[in-house]
Amino acid sequence: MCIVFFFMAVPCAWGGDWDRIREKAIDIQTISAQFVQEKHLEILIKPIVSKGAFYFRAPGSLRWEYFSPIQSILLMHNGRVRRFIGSESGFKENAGPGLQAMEMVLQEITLWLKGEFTDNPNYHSSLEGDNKIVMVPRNKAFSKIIQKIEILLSDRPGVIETVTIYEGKTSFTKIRFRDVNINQGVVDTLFESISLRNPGES
Amino acid sequence: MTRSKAQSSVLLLLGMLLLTACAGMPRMIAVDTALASKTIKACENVFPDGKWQFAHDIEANLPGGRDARLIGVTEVSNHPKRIHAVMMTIEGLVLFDALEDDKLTINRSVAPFDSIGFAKGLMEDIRFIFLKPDGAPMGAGITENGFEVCRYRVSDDAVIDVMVRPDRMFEIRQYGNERLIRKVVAELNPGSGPEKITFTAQEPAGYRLNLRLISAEQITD
Repeated sequence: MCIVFFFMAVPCAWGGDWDRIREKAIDIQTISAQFVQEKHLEILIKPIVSKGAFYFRAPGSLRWEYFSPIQSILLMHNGRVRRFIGSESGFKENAGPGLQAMEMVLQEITLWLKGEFTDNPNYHSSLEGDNKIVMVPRNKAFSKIIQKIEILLSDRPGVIETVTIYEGKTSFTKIRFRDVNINQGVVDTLFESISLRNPGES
Repeated sequence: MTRSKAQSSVLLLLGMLLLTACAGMPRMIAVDTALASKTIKACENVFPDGKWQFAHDIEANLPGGRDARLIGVTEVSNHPKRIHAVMMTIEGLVLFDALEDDKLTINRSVAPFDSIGFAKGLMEDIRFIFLKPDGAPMGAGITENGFEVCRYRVSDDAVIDVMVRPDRMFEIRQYGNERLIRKVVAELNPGSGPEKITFTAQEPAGYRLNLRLISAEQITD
């Protein structure tokens, strides 16, 4: 099918229509990837760049970890979200500002990784071209926090290239993913504990 | 009462008032004019000159034992005085964005940072940390423990001491009605701002902020 598309000069993306996206993601059990996050604000001369990694295991376990500039780990497992932030004295659990909003974002990410972009009634999702998904919050109160989300699908089925979260016209967060591994084994402890990473990783 | 006796009584009363007002503050030992000028210069070097933009990792110990960890972006300018402050979660979600020049404009505020009291207090703290108090100091000298000190009167009942310590650290202290209200301790780093800043507010509800510098950019228009 991809070869046919290739010769027809159509990108072999996992996009096209919602059914195709869902179908391509159905076999995904685990994903791990590195990411670089750029925070753009009108005030900022240079974006704030954060680096990290994430691990996902279907149906709803996610570890979202920042290595720099501030070490922190968000764990979502068995319906519970916890945040741990590194300091000079080690990691400490933190339920401070923004955790509730991050909980919503993490839940949304797990849906995307399963190819479910239209399942959340809180967003209106539309497909632009073959591989760009635009999500706009339906709730006015929430749209004051997040105006829209743009997701660019990679040519590789199941893989998201970038996610851009717009908080305003000039304030947005762009996350680029790389070194994506699909169904290559992600250990359970990654979602249960902050101290362990996947075997073989530094 | 003769004219000279009346003048002495007024001077004595003024002296007593001054002593009362300075209770709780370190005693400032007067120095000669040349050393005083050098001290004032050292005190001014504590504050960023011109327009700067800082990004900080902020660890906040708030009243009631609550802790918060945030990223703060602060743009400060001393001529004209202007502050633009953005606070966001460590994941990058903006919770607060406000600008203060001749007035305070709140561009964005999300709970728990959505009160006007928070906005005013935050701007006051940023001004205290990054901007030199208005006007010339009422005095400059040294404290008994050898700190260079410049004393600024900022209102009828408030005084700010800017102190440069021999160990290249500096302190900014605000006293109100004879009591220490706020304090900053940091290391002098005129090129790019201190790597670490510790801010402590004593009253009315005490809190502490530890700021770690992520980036500093001088802005040239």
